[in-house]
Amino acid sequence: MRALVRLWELIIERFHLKEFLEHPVPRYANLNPLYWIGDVAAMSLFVLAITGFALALLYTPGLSLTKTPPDPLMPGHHGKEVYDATQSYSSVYKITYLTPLGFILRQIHLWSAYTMVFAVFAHFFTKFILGSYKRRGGGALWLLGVSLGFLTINQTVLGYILPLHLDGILAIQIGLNLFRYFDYFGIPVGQLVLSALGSLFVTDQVIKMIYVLHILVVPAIMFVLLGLKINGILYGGVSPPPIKDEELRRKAMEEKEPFYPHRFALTVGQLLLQLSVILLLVAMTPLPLLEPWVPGQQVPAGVRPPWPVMWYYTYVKMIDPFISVGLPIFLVLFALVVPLLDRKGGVSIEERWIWVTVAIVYIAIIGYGTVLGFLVDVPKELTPLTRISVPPDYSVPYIGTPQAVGP
Amino acid sequence: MVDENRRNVLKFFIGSSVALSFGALTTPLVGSVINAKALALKGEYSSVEVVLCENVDNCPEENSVPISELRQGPKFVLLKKGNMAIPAVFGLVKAKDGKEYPAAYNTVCTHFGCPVNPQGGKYLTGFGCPCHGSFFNICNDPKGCPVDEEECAENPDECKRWPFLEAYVSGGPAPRPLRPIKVAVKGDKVYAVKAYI
Repeated sequence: MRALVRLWELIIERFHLKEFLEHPVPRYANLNPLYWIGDVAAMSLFVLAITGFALALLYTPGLSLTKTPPDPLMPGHHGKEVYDATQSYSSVYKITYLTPLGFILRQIHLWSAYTMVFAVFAHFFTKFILGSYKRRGGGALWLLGVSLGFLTINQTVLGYILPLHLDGILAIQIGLNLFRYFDYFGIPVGQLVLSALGSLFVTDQVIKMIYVLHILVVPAIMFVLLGLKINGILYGGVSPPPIKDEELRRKAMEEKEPFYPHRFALTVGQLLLQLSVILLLVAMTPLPLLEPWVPGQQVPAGVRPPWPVMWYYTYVKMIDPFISVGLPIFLVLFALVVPLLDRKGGVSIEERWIWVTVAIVYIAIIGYGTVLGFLVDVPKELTPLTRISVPPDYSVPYIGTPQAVGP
Repeated sequence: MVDENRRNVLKFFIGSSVALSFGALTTPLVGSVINAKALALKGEYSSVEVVLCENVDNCPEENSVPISELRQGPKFVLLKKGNMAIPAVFGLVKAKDGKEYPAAYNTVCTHFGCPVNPQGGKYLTGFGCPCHGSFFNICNDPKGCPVDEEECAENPDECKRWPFLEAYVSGGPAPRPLRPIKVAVKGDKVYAVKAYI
């Protein structure tokens, strides 16, 4: 025991960790769970990296067709010997149902991803309402945070594509065609995608590219940004409390305690709780592997996206595409410039009521779309927004001369 | 001084990115209000043209479907060219003049890119998108199908019409007809010659 204590002290001394570990943290931030949500997202990222490493070893990207054995958990699998599925799907099938602990590994990866997305949204809204971009160096932290949030959603979609189940195929098809609305106005996005990926429909090359992006490129950028963010927080401190009274606020900010062991213990506790919740979710609501899809197969009507993008689905379905396609880009870009616009006044909620309202509008847009997407089957034209349609003469006649065959 | 410089550079970066993104966002909106056709480049169908074969004699067999098979119903073919894959549905369209016309369409929905499902039984009558509920009807009238039924009822000679075999939008959010694939018949087979993706 004594030797361990000595070793710990030696590590702290030789790696010059004392200053880092014992940096002062305000007491209010340690006690208020609103200041921990970012930690939840960061911890999920590490869980995802660890489980993702194991999954990446077992997964093979590819579109060539292989056989999948019938699965008693899947509807309609009785009586048939084997099922055709893509190589990607088969390898995920093997991970899920034929590898020891593979099911749990994949479940932890999925539920950590959902936890991370949820935490990212919650963290964004909390910091928006608290106005934490007003702290020292807060603008840069806000920029890093919004970029990380954007990359998180990207990662979710990329990861959703990889098994190439039915919904994954739909996700990649939407991803490849999402920005093609620029094609109508002479910006050749279609050709750009084509030159980058070689195809506008999923092929071996495209799925390999997505695999590399998902396991290497995007996580690398995310870890760099996360490092910058932690550095920025060490420099600028945690966000100030939203108290109007200057005296009280200063007092709250001056009451500090060292990160280690005070906050460190809380963080460890939070991580353990988070892992337990994830394991509970895995045990109570395991997410089965969705049904396979091979090109040309009929897609059942009424397919829905997973909840992180459900709000987008709702708006895209009910509003004219020329308006609704750009909604997420608009939300992200506007979020980026918020620190430049909200400069006057204090940090309290009374003084920043306009920006708190804007934050609530953000929550409302995403929340309303999500709830509506789950509750109702959105009719085709729900809103009376003007329909911006491409003029009919813009589409030229069916190419070629029709040739009749037979009688 | 240094701080001033940094502030200017930051202002430049942020200003130009905001301007660029704002421009990128408003281009479709403004463009659709102004005459979109005048702004568009010469890209027909606002799509990329892919020539699968120069003429029907040198088309690869894998991009073809026997007519006898099409008589059983529409058939899906994954057209290949190099690394490129194009999902296509071939089918016979029963026209109002009583003849059967082979036709093929790129089955990527023009709204958001989902794969569309062919509709109708033995003959191809249209496509439905499972994601956001767009419907595409194939015009089966060799004289063209009315864009607006009421307008054509009043003035049958001068109303706008969809051309024959065009897979025009009959419902849902899709902005434009499905991208077509040019087919040619040689012997008892239908070959894909040119595709728009």
